[in-house]
Amino acid sequence: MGDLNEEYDIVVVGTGLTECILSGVFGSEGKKVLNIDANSYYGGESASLNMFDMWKKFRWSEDQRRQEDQRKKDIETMENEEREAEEKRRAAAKEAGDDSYKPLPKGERPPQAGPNPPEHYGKDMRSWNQWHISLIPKFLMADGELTRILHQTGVTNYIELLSVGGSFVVKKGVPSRVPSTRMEAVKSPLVSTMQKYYMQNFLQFIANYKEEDASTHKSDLNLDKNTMREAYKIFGLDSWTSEFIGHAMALYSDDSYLDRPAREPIERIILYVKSMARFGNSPYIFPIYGLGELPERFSFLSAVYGGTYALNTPLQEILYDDSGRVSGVKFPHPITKEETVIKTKKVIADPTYFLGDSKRIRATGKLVRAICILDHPVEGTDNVESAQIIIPASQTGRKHDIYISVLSSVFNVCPKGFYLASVSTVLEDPEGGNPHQELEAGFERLGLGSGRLGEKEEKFISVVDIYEPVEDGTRDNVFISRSYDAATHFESTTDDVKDIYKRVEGKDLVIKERKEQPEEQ
Amino acid sequence: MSHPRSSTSQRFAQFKLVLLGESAVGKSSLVLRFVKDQFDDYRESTIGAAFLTQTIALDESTTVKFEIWDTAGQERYKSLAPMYYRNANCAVVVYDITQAASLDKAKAWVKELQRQANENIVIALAGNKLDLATAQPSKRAVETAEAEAYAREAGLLFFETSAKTAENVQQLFTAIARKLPLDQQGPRGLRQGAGGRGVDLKGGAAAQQQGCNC
Repeated sequence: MGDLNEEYDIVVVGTGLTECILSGVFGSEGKKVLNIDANSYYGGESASLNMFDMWKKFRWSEDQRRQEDQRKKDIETMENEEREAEEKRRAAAKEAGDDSYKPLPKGERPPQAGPNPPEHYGKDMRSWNQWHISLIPKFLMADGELTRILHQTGVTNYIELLSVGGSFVVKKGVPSRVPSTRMEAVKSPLVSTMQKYYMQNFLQFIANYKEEDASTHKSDLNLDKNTMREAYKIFGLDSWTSEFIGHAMALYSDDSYLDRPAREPIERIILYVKSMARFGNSPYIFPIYGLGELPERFSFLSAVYGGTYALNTPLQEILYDDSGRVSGVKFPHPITKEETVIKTKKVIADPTYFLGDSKRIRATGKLVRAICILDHPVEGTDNVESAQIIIPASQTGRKHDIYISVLSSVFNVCPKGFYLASVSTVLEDPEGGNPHQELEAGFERLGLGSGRLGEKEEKFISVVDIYEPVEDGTRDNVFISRSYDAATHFESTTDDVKDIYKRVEGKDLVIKERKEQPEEQ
Repeated sequence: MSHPRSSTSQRFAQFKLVLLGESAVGKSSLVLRFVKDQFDDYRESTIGAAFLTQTIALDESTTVKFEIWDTAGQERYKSLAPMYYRNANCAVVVYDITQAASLDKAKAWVKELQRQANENIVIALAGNKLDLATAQPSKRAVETAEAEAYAREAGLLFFETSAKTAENVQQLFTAIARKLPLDQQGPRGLRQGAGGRGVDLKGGAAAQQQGCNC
């Protein structure tokens, strides 16, 4: 009992948020799901790491990480061998009626391959575990699709989210709250005196808009025919007002949306305003203990419905039948490490399992992200405990905005006295050799300009490739998800979830609302 | 979900309890016995409920409510998410007294809990399937004295239990309840979706309270 089945309906490779939502959804629909991940933790690219894993990922060499993986395997082998030997000795002693049996002392374990984090971040696992550092800087829109899925699947019963303290946009070096109601527009320093009337009209239109009620539409604006550039003009909004609406409310990171139909940007602005209206302060919510909670909780949902999970289990090979469709997957058994083949007809995988395979995935761009540990709150944000700050491209002479997200110990993501800030942008000069330079305006905002860094402060910088699948997967039943994009929220992730579901099942995803509450006595 | 805090002398505390141990040692069966007083011989693995709750009245004025998290089988390939025992106030580490190796696994879990979980976590060691050893003493593979000595050394509560006959099941959970620090119960004990300090995704109004990070 307890070993892997011979066959699963779906094998999911990777435990990122996209993959875990899908295995949760498929599991709750009664499918047999096996989910494997090469990492020792849940979440893949969307994980939250403790301080030790963070240090290992960003401060250890490739070689040290390899040695450490080997060391873990060695220790596991030693443990298994010791256990087996002990069991034999114990059985023999029992057989001989010898009650002086005592287990032998355990053998010496090889030493850790790389250094521990500095002591001001903690001295042992328990203190490193107080850090939950999210690798991708995203928030949930309070009225967005992921929030709805969390609610419908019942995952909200075992996850806690807090409202993010503020949503700011930077103009001339000064952050201000993004106005989303008529009253706020009147007071906001972001809206010039001349523009206040027009901005109020625009926000009124947004607040009232109902697709099915023509009286809420604007007669001279056709959302499918007019571009957003034209829409701004119709509302009399000037270039700065439309810039912060497009970047800080519709949340576009560049200006390419201006010449596309107005429908999508208007829908995104409506989402922003509705999300803002739910909990005040900002349109965003964020889980206590970090984003890694999301894949972990969805994996739990899937497991509750019988889904099987195996970490530390890399995908070795996908097997195909004569027609070129998936027939199985090969991987080392999670415990015995023996090569194992499992039958399945469908594989869902994240793109990091196909790095270098140009038939499977293609890169669509690069992001540069810096995860910063601060020992002070961020200036100019009313000392809120959490915030989203957008520095529009126009303010820095760039083509893409710089995003900053700030979190504090209120979210249980770091010990008291520390703040976590992520600075990210689309890399505009990948060949420049100086990716962190593109984040400089963000660092300045955090008080880390010109390379300044306090004694207890740290910057973890990474350049990440953004991938998308080359094919939709219907030819061979290998369905690949997209990388987590530059956006500040998860709306494109849930689009990907729905899209993959439809490709896998041939029908739209309809999540049944899970009504039952945790049982009460 | 309201908390009965009616009369002034009433004490009510809620704690998160997790179960750990090798698969098939009877973790879910222990919970089922404790919460519903049922036993199912052919129970395979945990499907359906994420967690169960059960209330114990310690005395006339003290009520302890356990929020019991089962592993849903995620422990099987060493794939338990950290969220599982994060903030657990108490843990029951289960082994099968007819399988010597399951005690080794239990010891590994205890070590992990002591290294990684809450500092004040109350851990109980439960040697389950006592009914099998009672019916057929030759089936016993772990002597009571051996496990007891280990539990004492590691500072654990210890019981040999039978989910099948209910022997010592209530006693196990009551002993844990008695050992928990009832007066120091902070928000970590109170962890139930929107009932804590999180936002309420069902309603629209701001349901958020000032966060206290303790």
